[in-house]
Amino acid sequence: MNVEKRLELAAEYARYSQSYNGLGKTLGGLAGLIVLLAGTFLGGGVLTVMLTFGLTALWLVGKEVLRARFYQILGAAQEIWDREYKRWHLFLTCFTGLISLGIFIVFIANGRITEAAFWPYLFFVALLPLVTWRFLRTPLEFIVGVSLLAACAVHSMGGAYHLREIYTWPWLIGSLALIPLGISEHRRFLEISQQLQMGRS
Amino acid sequence: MADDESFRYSEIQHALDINRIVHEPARLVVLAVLSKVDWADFNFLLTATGLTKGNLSRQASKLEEAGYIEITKFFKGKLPATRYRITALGKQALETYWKQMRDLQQSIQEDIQP
Repeated sequence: MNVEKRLELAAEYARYSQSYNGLGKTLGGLAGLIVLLAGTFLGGGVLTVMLTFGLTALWLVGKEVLRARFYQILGAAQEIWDREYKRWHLFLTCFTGLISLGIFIVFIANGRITEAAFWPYLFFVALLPLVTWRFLRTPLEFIVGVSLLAACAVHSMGGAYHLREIYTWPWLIGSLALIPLGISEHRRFLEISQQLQMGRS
Repeated sequence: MADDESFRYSEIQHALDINRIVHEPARLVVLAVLSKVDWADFNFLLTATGLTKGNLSRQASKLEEAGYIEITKFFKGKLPATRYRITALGKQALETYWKQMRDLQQSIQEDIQP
């Protein structure tokens, strides 16, 4: 294998530290889809809440475990994030931060911030910018991740998202897109790691 | 005739000016791999370069001495780990090296064409 090819493989392998997540993306797609279908067909209730909390946490933790344990199996390599990408990520974090802040201001203004019944909702609202900054690295992950956190907030109050509402469609499309994308990234990772190992001393 | 000789002399000088630290194949491949990532650990560099452990450690130390890479040693839990990152000086040295090699290749090709 020539050096140029080896360098390409090294750069591609490093992408699994940030923008590629293989089966982590598939897991996110499945979590997004199941939560949306649970809201649609089961409505608000304990089962929907459990599925929403459980699958959101499973995805966020699972994708990072996969990233660290499986997709760095040949050693750790961090992808280069160019300036434009960093700016985009910062923009999304600030955007979700402003939304959270706005919601908190509304709750403070109408005096509901002290009502314990709203605290689970506010907890997930507060998590939004933190989760965006720490866990959501691509546009599709952002769409599904923010939707899942919004679902955690709304479902914790006994409400439920329904597929008939048009604003859930990007969530549905994002989830459906993540499933095959993750599988394709995973297959590519297996090829990359096999090719990289071929030249190892 | 004199112009032709001085041209050849400058070409030879140009070839001799090539950065010997970067020119060594093992160091070149380490620098090239690090230029493609933000940072990498020892295990990944071993895999990506195909070097032996001893050779990689030796060449990385030389690159660090030249200021071309940064080596950070730390503990990952209880296990020691090493992280490598190319510096701005290293990136510049690598770019200059590629440019010199391209120029040299071009001048040789021009020379041998009838």
